[in-house]
Amino acid sequence: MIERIHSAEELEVCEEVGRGGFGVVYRGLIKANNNEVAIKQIDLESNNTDLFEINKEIQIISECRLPQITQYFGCFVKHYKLWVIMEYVNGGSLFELLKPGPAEDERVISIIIREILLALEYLHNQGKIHRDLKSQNILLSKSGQVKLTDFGVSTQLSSNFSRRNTTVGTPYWMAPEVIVNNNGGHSFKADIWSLGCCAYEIFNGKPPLQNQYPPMKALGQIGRCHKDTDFVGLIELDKMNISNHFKDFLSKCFIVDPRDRYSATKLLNHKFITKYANLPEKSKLLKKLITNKHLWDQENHVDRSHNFYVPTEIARNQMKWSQEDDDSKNTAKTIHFDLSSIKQSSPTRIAYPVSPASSKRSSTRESSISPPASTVGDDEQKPNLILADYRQNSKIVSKEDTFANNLRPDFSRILNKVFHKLESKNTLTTEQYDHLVSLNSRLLDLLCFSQYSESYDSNNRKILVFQYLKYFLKELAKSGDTNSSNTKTILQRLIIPSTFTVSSQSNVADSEFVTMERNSRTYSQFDEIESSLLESWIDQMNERWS
Amino acid sequence: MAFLFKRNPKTPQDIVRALNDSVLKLDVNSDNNKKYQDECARLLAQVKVVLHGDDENDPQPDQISHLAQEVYATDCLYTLIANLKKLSFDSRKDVLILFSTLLRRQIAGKSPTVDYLITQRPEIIAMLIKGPESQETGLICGQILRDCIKFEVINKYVISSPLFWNFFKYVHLPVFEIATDSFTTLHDSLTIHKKLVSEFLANNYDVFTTQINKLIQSNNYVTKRQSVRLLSELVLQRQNQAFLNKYFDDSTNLKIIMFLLSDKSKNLQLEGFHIFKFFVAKPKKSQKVLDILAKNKENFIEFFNAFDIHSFNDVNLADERDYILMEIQKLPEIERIS
Repeated sequence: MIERIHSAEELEVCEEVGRGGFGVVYRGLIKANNNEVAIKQIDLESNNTDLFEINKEIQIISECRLPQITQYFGCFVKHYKLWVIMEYVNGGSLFELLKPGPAEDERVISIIIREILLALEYLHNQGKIHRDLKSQNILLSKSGQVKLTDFGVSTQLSSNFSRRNTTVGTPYWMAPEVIVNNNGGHSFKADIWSLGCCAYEIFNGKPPLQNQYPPMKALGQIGRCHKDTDFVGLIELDKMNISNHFKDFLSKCFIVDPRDRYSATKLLNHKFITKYANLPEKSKLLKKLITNKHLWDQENHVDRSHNFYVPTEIARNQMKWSQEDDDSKNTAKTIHFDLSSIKQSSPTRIAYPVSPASSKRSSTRESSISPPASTVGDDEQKPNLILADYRQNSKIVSKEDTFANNLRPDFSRILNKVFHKLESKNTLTTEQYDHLVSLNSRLLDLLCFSQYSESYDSNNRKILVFQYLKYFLKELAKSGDTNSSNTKTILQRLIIPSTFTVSSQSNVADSEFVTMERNSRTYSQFDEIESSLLESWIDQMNERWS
Repeated sequence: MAFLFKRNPKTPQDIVRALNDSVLKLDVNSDNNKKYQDECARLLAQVKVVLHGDDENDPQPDQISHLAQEVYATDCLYTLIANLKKLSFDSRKDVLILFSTLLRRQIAGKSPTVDYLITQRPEIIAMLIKGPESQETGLICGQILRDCIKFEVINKYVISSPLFWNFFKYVHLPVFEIATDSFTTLHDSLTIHKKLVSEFLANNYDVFTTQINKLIQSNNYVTKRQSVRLLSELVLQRQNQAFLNKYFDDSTNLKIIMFLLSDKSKNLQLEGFHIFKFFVAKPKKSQKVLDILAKNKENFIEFFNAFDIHSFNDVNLADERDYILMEIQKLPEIERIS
């Protein structure tokens, strides 16, 4: 039967496969039989771990024995760490597997959803609610099995590790009653709503509303659904190019009143599920999903040896939203960086729109300095130049792309090195990783662009980029003049690391490389939402003092 | 599940009787064991439908009432708990659901199940207390027992039982979740009904203090931390005055807490501090406690100056530390014979 693991001596710890606020997850081997397991190490000394909370979750997972739920093999304490041993599921999460593109084959959707329904039926029959059902928590094995995971501690693989109280992105999977009645009035039917969202997600690649709304707005939209037609209309279910069975299945999941919403047992008897329940090529179809992902990884130079880190899609979207949200305001006042033209010609690349905050930062700087030398004068025009060039140079895009693709692997290597360096000094959160990744990509875009600009000599452009970074920091590092804007002091406090003394300028411009590195740190210190908040705050300040 | 009724229309009484029969037939060594396990699982599922309804049917109060009556009349809960280990893994959780639902059911402000347990079958409670001794059913028993002690009479029964002291052993069990689950039960039984606990602690000062001190000195980090946490919760309760007076006059306790302050773990240091501060702040200190404090005056000053309070997100901590430091500085100087 089930062999329990009692101590660390029985295990061999292999590579890291994920990490989060709670701790690190490793792949491991049972020495006795070489079976793979997932080892989650929770740091009990860390401030945010609550022993009672952890106990509760271990209790839940230890009470689940079902092929569709990741199995629990025991746990023990070693020094200040709690090791939780779980089944290792080697195919990756559904979230990862959807990255190459959605799975539009309804057979695949039906098969996956059926397995999850079996898991939910089991849980619900025991009065357990998963509460956080989403594609990140659905794992696939290479043999084509589907497993529900993450009851708080059992998170594994490089999925979204955000803690539950700070669940960025989870809003899209939330049922209306969870949003409206947050006093804990919701029942296991909330899981069914989330399941509908997952089914939708498999077909579309994204959960409902993610492409239209930022998380908090989506939350509002879902919360405002009172009639069954409200949500179904919102996601334009009628216009989806899917079978009637699938459509009906989704509409049963998206019934607003939880009492009328179908139960897992009832949905298991729905035609959309029964239709493919006995399909002989079941596991073959699911295996194909995994093979596709591998091929896609290869084509896109995803370094397999570093597959433990994959940036969350959500962070990228946030960037987009924060941009879109402020579009109306920004276009009027500030320079709007738009790299979208590049994106169109190269589907595999993701263009990062420069966040409004960074353009704002540069303009604030411009207003506060008086150019002491000619070089600085050049530098000052920089944002405008780049903007102009991005608009003009869409014709050189293809050339630029090949260059970028050649550089990308090297850039990733540098990125991974930086990760290791930073990692050894301070433990990074998933979010921080994401910031570094996006910064790295932006730098690449910037450099590739300057390499292939035709209007100016390329060397000059490269120098400009770095001079811009250099002077940007230099200006920030200057101690605020007596009556210059307070906003600058605020910026300084926010951006410059506390270890770095404001008045000493010599440190800043030692070499361009150093500045670059330092700059990357400063960016990683706050996320898109924070920077857009900062920006609106600065605007308010300006208005008040002008 | 409704189809079960249509095809096989059983009254709640029938279900309970059939369940009793099937449970008694369970025998690990029998070839038919699996068959009876499945039978029990099926009947427990039917019990669940009576109690909670299903997709088509809401639960019917009169049906529930019939079921409850039959459960008490046939000692069904006793049969189930006594044979819990023989039931299948998933059926055991259904027993938990049956037990908890019946406990919560109230008639005229009283729970008939609680009456039944106390007056007719206290053996069930004893079995539940011993639950952690079985790795397979420990967690289920723990959950049922915690549901039980939400009722003061049962809580009283539990802490008055000599078996209660077993929990101080169970928290050392090698299976992590059983050990922590036992701790949760121990914790609940000493924190929910304050007045009851204050009497208990006053009457059992010696045994309790010896036991909790043993836990605090355990080599296991988790046991250590949980027990210190429990102690600080008890110490914060005003109702526990009688216990507190004795506890803070006892120099043995002070020594144990001082060991915590010098522990490598920051969290243990912090937990230790939250108890230590009462030794220092107590207006009338016993001579022994005063001696130890005075003897270590310099050490304390050194310790609290280095005490890293910034890593904890607690705004009051700095004030508390400063206050304690001030109190320590007021202590009399002691001439050292070196």
